[in-house]
Formats: sequence, C-alpha cells, structure tokens
Amino acid sequence: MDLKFIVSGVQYENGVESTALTMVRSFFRAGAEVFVYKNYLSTIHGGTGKIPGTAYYEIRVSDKKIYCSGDDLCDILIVLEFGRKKDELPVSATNYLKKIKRGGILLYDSSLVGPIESPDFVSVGIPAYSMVKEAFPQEKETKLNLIRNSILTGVAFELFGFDRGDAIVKSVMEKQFGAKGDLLKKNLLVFKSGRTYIGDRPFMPYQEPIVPRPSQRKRLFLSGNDAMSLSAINSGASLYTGYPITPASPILEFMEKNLRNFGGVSLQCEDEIAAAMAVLGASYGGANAFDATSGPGFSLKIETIGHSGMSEVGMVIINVQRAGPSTGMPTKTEQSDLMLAIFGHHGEIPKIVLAPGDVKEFFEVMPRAFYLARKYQMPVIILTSLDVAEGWSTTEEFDLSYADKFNYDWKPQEKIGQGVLHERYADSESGISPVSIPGERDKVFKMGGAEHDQYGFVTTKPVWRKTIMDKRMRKMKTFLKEDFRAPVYYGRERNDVALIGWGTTKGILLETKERLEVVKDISVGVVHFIDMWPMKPGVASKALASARKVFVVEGNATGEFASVLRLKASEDGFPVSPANLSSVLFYDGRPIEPRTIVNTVLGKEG
Amino acid sequence: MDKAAFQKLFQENTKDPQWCPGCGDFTELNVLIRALAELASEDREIHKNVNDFEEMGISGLEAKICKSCPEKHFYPRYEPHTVVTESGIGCAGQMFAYINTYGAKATHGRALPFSLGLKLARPDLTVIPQGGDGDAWAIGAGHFANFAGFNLDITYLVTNNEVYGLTKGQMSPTSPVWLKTGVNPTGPIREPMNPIAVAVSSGWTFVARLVNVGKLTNGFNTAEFSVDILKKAIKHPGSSLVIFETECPTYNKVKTKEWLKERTVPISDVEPNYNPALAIDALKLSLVPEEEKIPIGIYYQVRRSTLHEKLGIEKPLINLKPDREKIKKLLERYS
Repeated sequence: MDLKFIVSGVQYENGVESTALTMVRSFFRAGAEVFVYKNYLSTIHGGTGKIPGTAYYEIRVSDKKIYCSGDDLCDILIVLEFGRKKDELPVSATNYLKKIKRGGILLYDSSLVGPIESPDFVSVGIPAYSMVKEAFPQEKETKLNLIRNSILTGVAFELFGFDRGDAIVKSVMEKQFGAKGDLLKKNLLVFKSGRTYIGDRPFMPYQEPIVPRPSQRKRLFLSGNDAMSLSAINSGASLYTGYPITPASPILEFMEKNLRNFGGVSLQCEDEIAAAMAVLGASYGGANAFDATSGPGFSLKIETIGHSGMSEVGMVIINVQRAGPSTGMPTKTEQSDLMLAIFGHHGEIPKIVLAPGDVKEFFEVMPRAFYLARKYQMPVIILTSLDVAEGWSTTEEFDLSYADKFNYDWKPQEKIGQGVLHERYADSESGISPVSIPGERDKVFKMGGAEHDQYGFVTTKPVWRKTIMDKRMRKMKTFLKEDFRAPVYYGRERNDVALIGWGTTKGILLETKERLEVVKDISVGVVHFIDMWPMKPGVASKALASARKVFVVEGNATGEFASVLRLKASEDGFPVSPANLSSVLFYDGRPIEPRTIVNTVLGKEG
Repeated sequence: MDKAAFQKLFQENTKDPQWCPGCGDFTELNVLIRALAELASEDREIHKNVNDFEEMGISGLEAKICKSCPEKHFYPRYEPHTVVTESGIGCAGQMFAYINTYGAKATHGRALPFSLGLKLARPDLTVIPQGGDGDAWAIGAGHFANFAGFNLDITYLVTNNEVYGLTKGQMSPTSPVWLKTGVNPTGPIREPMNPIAVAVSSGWTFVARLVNVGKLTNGFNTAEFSVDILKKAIKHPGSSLVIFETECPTYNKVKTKEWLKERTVPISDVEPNYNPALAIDALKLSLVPEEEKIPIGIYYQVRRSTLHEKLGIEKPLINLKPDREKIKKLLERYS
C-alpha cells in the first residue's frame, strides 16, 4: 500500500490542518509510514477575497519505508471547501483536480455544489454540511463547519479501506478535542455516520486498503522544526533569541513554550540583528545559545556571523530556507542560500555550514553544531528548508543519549601568558586557541570585530594581521582533518547513475533511486552531503568513479552546490570532471518530484 | 584593597587611548574607572568578614552568591574579571581597550543586544555596554527603544558629543540644527532627537545625565558628582542609562568644555523638589534647551522587576543539564 492524498480548502476557514492531522495521526498510530507536505499561503485568512485563498496538505501513507511525500499526483483529493454557487466548482477543486491520478477519487461536500462529474476520476459527493446541520440544528455555524469535516474523515477512511481505525481515531480525537465534552462526542458521532454513509452507496473502496500494522519499534511523527527544537533543548541549549519569520517561527514558538521548563530562556527580540547579537553575547559568556531564521533574516544576521568568525566566538544559527530572492515566496521551499551561507560576509572568515537531510538528521545536527561552535570558535550555520522543516514525517524514536557523544559544555582551559591578561588568540598549530570567559580570574582579554593581537587588542600591524588571519583560517583545515563528515553514500559499489544532493533533498533522491532501480533496472548511487563547508568533495570518489552519468539535484536556479563542487574539484581529486556534472534544478516553490528526476535521468540516458 | 589600589588595577594592562587631546571620552573613562574602583573597594570592605556564600557550581568561575546582604547578589562583582565593558563602534567604542576589565566590542549599534545575551546568560557579571550618540541613537536606535522594556540589569553609558568623530564630522541624531562642520557646512536638515525623553518613555528604569568638566564656577565638583551618580546607576537593579554630555574638540566647535561649563547645573538647582520617580517631570526636564541649561543628575529612577527576577534566573545559564524525563514527556506528543 502506498497512498497519496490531498486535503484542500480555504486557509484558516475550512479546518484543513486539523482535518489533515486527525487523519495522518490515525494512520501513524495504525503503524503506517507517513509524510506530510504543507502547502499554504503567506496570508492568514484565505476567505476574504473574491477568489478564496486555498491551502492543501499533501499526505503520503505507506506500509513500507518511504522517504518523501512523493510526486504531485494523488490517489484521492479531499476538498473541504464549500463552494459558493451550485454550478461553480470550489476553487480548491478547480486548482487540484488535475492532480488526481487517472482512476483516483474526488471527495467533496455536495451540500452547496455539484454534482462534479468526470470520466477521469470517481467523484464522491457527500452532503456533509446538510447532514450535520440536520443533526445539530442548535449548533453555531462556525462549529458546524468544522464538525462537518469529521463526516468527510469517516468517508475517507471508508474509501481508504481503513476499517479497523475507529479506536485509533477516537484516541486521536480525544487528544485533539479533549477527552470529555460535547465537541468530541459530536465529532465521533459524525465520523461514524460518514463511515456508514459510504457503506450504503455503490462506491468502490480504494484498491489497496490501509491495514494497521502495529510496529514493534517505537516511532515518532513530527515536523523537522520540532525535531530540531527538541534536540536543542536535549543538547543543553540555554538561550534562544529569535524574531518571527516564516518558516522558522515554529522554532521560536517551541522555544517560547518549552525552554523555560528546562531552566533556559527564550526571548523574542526587536529584530533579526538583535537576535543574532544576543546569541553572540551569550556564546561569549559560555552558554549554548542559538537562533533560527529564514532567508531575509539570515541576510540581516550576516554582519554578526562575520563578527563571530573574526572574534572567534562560536555561535549556532539555523536558516530554514524559503524561496527567495528578497521576500520571495515565504511559504514555498528552496535551497538557494548555500552561497550566502558559505560566502556571505565581507572579508574572509572560517565557518562551518551543515545541511541535515531528514527529521532524524535534524535531531542529530544540534548537539554536533554546539560542539563544533565551541571547539572551533566559529559560526556554525545549519541550512534546512521549508518542506522538511514544516512538513511532518514518521521517524524512529530519538536516542536522547546521542547528544552525550558530543562535548559541548564549557570547561576552563589552559591559561597562556603572564599577569591578568590571557592570550586568547595565541597562535597554534591547529589554529584553535584556549578560550576564557568573563568571570575567570587572570584571563582577561578583549574581543571584537577589529583585527587584533593575541590579547584581542586592536592592531593593524601587517605581521599580526597575517599571523592571526592565518591562525583563524587554519581552523578550517583542522576541522577537515578532525571533524569533517564525508557525504553519506547510498548504493552499490558500481552504478550506472549517481545522484548528488545536499540537505533536505535526501528523501527525494532515495525515492528516485528506488524507482529507477525497481522500475527501470538502472543502478543508482546517491551521494548526500551534510557537511557543506569547509568542503572536501574528493571523499565521494569511490561512489562516483564508476557512474556514467552524475547529476547534482538541488533547489535553486543557478546550481549553487554544483558550483561549489566545481570550485573544489581540482584541489581535492574529485573524480568527476566539472563538465560532466549535470544539474537538475528546481525553484518553482515545491520540492522536486521524484518523477521529474527519473525523467531527466532517463532522457539523458536514452 | 583600597580605592586607590583598585584605581591603579583598572588602569593596568590597557592600551594608550587613541583619542584626540581634550576628547570628552577621557572624562567618561575617568569617571568609570573611579566609580568601579570605589564600588570594588567598598564591596570588599562590606564582605571582609562575610563567609555566608553559596557556590555557583561552575568550575573556573569563582563568583559566589552572597547570602548575608539584603539584596541577593554575586561576589565579587566589580573587579576586573567580573566586569565586562562592552561597546559598539566609534570613538567612544574604543573604551573597552583602555580599562582593565573583560572587554567586548559588538558591531556598530549592537552593544545592547550583545549585552542582552551576555547578561541574561551571566547574571554574575557586571555588564557595561557603552558607545557614542551615533552608535546608540542612529544605527542602534531600534535596540535603544526596545531593549529597555526587558529591564535587564546593565548600565549603558552613552557619550553625547552630538557629532560623528571617527568618520570625521558627520551629523549625529543629536546634532543641533545650528551645528556646522567641515563635511556638513549647512548643518543638519533634521531636528535633533531627545534621547532622555525616548529613554523615559521606552522603559529605562534609571536615566541620568552627567557632565564631567571638573569644578564649576560656583565650586560644584562635576567629577565627584558624576562618580557618585554612576555608582548609583551601576548598583541600580535594572536597565540604567547614563548620558555623558561631552565635547568633541575636533569636530564640534560649539559644544566645548567652556560651553558645557557655563550651562551645567545640578537638577536640584533647577528644580529644588525634583522627584525622579515621576516620568512626567523627567520628560519636562528633558525639554530644557541645552543652549540654556544642561541639568545634570538623575532624571528618572524607578524600581521594577528585572528580567532575571521576572524569569527567576539566579545562576549562569551555562552547562545546563536538561531533564531527560521531561523531554521524554514532550516526545509523547509525537508518538
């Protein structure tokens, strides 16, 4: 079973999110693998204009391991929108009808519109609103609108063949509406009437029923942003400062809600710069602090990041990438801040850029980021993107003790020099100098963004400039030697095709690999980079050497990562000649569909 | 250690100031060093025979929590290794190199947000952000107005010479309309802002204005007065703002030491029954044109909960060990 469905409706009016979550939580509890991709608008209410603004949730459910929300097409489209006129399709139906696979199903509320007929799909219209209106004549309109969704959920479950899910749905709804109370009762009641309603009608249930398979292992179902927030707390983060921005706000919200309970503090600052500067101040004081933002906010933090590189006070900044440039498309995904993350600062600084690929890696990246920021005393930038950060997916249960593998606590270090001053920027082979923090006796030093001598006093003497600059940049080499993680290779030793990706395209590449191998019998190796900078691409040699075609798949218009690979290829024995790297790019706001990559590979192959 | 010994200590291991001869920044630096030296020696004296301290439990940091004083505090708190002088960019922003404390220099205009993170994570430190009028009220204006509401326990020193010095004579937010300089011969096109009025109305809980020009003609000693007020500002639990009215002998040919001397007058001489707890009186006083009078002293002082008090933070936010059982509880939401 591998089912894809879309729940669509007017944003903030039809209960798209709560309906979708009731469904997917039920599937998750039943043991299914679930991926959710949220497609929403950057307005609040979709219902005020002449043409309603619609949101849709793409949901993929499977009993096998899946890696992403898959292609744009769906088996079932569930339209929660009421529509306005009898003979006019609801906007979300018009928008998304073409996404229904041939032979798929359209499920909609026929109280105000319809019938909607088409030879391409099975159309299931339920007068859901009329039914709840009749059942609860006293209930308020706004409540009826939402209760109605439970009828559609019931019908959908029947169509999915998800017939043993009632107990699960009850427990999910209890969580959602509260264990007692009127709302839960009514929702459960109409859910059941949805189930029986379809039972009396001549609709065929979906061909591959969803069968609950209680999994042996404990699993989680959560968004990338939540995984990262949880992990930050688990790794001893004590200060979060942020500023609201889509799609990073959920991290701010999570921290505001939870960090106090763990002894830390979360503050909303007056702007993005203040939030970054506060992280720098706290890091200078020895704390594990961090800040999350998205493109426009990240641009504003660049000066602070440069300071962090110069003053050698490590700091952790998350950039949940969204479609740029400028304001771009705030609620759409992209991977177009790689160049900005690597090169975006005046002057030259050492820095580390990490791009985790899936929810599990989102969880794993945080303790490592704190550790690297502390060890290397330079900014650590984490690049994620909207699709995985805001999307929900199933994952193995997190191992909380994973964080303990990393040494991210502050400890007093060796004192260098005489008297009260400490040679905080003492030259060393590794480039790393022993840190002191305010409060330590006889370890006074000066920190700042100006070029400085070993104590941090400002200097422009060429000899100091060169010594300290070289020392700073040398840390990058030390990182490559001691902590750089080679890209992860998925595949056999020899392959026809290699797909190179970074960060959040991981799942899409693995899905593509599976499809090409199973359906087309083409062996595919996937090379996935998490450590983006400093870069040592040569480590991918073995995997790439045999591939006849190498594609770099990434979410931007100019092939940013391919450029980085080309830049570094010659110096590091990268086995693919720069000319043979073909880019597969996407920047239409959506995560690329696996079928697009499959077609590109086949086209080039053929 | 006595006052003199501390004063000497605060001047050790520093660089020679790179300011112009007669720069007003010297006047602030002298006041700061004297105030810290007095606070440090007084604090030692008070705690000479005190043994009732609670350890912070962070290795390397020796400050302890004093259990004998009525107000909870860390000790030592005013000594070179427990003070952070921190600044933005500009002539005034060089001060961190001329005083023997931990020193930090943020980017231009960002001294306050830097101290927000630092002090929040490190309540054991005495944090003194500092800068000039351009740093504080032009590029840093957004922070100046927003930061105050947190009432974080820091003391922000702003030297106000009403002109950009380091970049050679451009207009600042407080430049009076009659100020003409070499690079701006017609003077500023906009009215100057009133930082005291902004401060009082945006939540600073201690606002003082000082001038250090030695003795006035009537014998009033502005240096000693400034040291006294600055000590009060540093001791004040909450966000303290201390504005030093200073001269820029190179680029502001009007606001000279003599000009300041003629106009400086203690608030008590202007308003004998002045009550600094009343914001409305502070606002009124802030409207006195500087060409006429420069009233010095505490304009505004109220005691409100500090950020640390509101959050209940009593120790540094370092090496936090999160309760894993609680995290497991959080995870239940996702299973």
